[in-house]
Amino acid sequence: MKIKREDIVDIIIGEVAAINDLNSTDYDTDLSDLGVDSLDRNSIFLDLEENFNVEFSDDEVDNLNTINKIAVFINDSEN
Amino acid sequence: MIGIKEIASYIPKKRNSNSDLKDKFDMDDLFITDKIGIKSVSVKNLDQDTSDLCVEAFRNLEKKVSIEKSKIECLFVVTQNPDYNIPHTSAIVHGKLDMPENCACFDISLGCSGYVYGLSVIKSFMIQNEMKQGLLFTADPYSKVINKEDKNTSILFGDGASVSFIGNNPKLEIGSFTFGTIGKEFENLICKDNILAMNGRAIFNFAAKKIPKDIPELLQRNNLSKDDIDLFIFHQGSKYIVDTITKRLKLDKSKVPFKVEEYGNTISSSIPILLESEIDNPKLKKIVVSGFGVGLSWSSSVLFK
Repeated sequence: MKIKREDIVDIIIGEVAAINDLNSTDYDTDLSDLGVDSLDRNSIFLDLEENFNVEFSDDEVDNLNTINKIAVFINDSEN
Repeated sequence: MIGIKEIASYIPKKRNSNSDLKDKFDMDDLFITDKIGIKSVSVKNLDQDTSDLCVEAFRNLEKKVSIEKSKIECLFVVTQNPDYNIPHTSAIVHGKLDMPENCACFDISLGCSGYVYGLSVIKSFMIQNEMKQGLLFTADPYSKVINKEDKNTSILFGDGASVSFIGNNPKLEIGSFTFGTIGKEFENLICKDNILAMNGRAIFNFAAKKIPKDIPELLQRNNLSKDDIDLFIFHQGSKYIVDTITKRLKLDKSKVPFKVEEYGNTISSSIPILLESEIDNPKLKKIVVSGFGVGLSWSSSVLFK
């Protein structure tokens, strides 16, 4: 299933209580600068794995630090 | 009917504060209180060993209920940090407490799932052997193996012990169980060369995925629904994992306690320590207990009044 940036935003907002809204200007912002901590990251990537049938290694979780990078990774893994 | 007659615990007085580690581990107060949920971890004295923690728990038990040692027929210790590899720590506890010679003793090598597995073991053992009184200890002082430079583990785990007095006419009857193991993932929480190491993400994923599937199965086995349960006592791994499981199971948060802010994750003692504080609450009739962690292993049960 192809993922849209908005799908990732929905997951982040669902998992991180302090984040109420994100827009396209945030898509290249480091997740930690958006307010996502290490535990939030675990939840977000677990949700992505469960909803988009993809698996992330620990290194990939560390390196995929923006919404754009995550979207590209998931969509590339579909091909 | 064999069940839990009484519970007592022992938490050492010494504390290591997570606030003191904020700069070292790049944490803020909100992370400590709202995410980890542990402000300080308890640490045993250097001259205390695992058996000593058990003895202290037993002394606290004696303050609550009169125990005739001559009637204790079995004594098990749940630990993965024994006094020695050989002999079993339960034998050492037996000796320190001057228990009778006809008392059966062995250790149960399990971590955070250990108390719930332990309840199944002791209940079955006592029924099979027509025993009337037994003691189930938990004591797993991770301070023996913690790497103080490791953020993953040093801010979580505290030392503590519990003892459950098991016998007839219990305060809590013990229902049916679920059990599970994923041995292929054993390396995600491991102690090698006396140093503990944990893949936090792997353990989180395991608990977040397995327990929300296990609890419905448990309830079905006990012919119960979520709404029948008055309290869900999950292993107190961290506030984050307990909150995650609560959210995934769509549970009423008021029914899911997290109370280890002052002493931390005490491994197999985390459930009985919390259960001790609730065992005399007349409003609680049905309690789910669910332990999960090292192994990777899990077990859940329902306790009834």
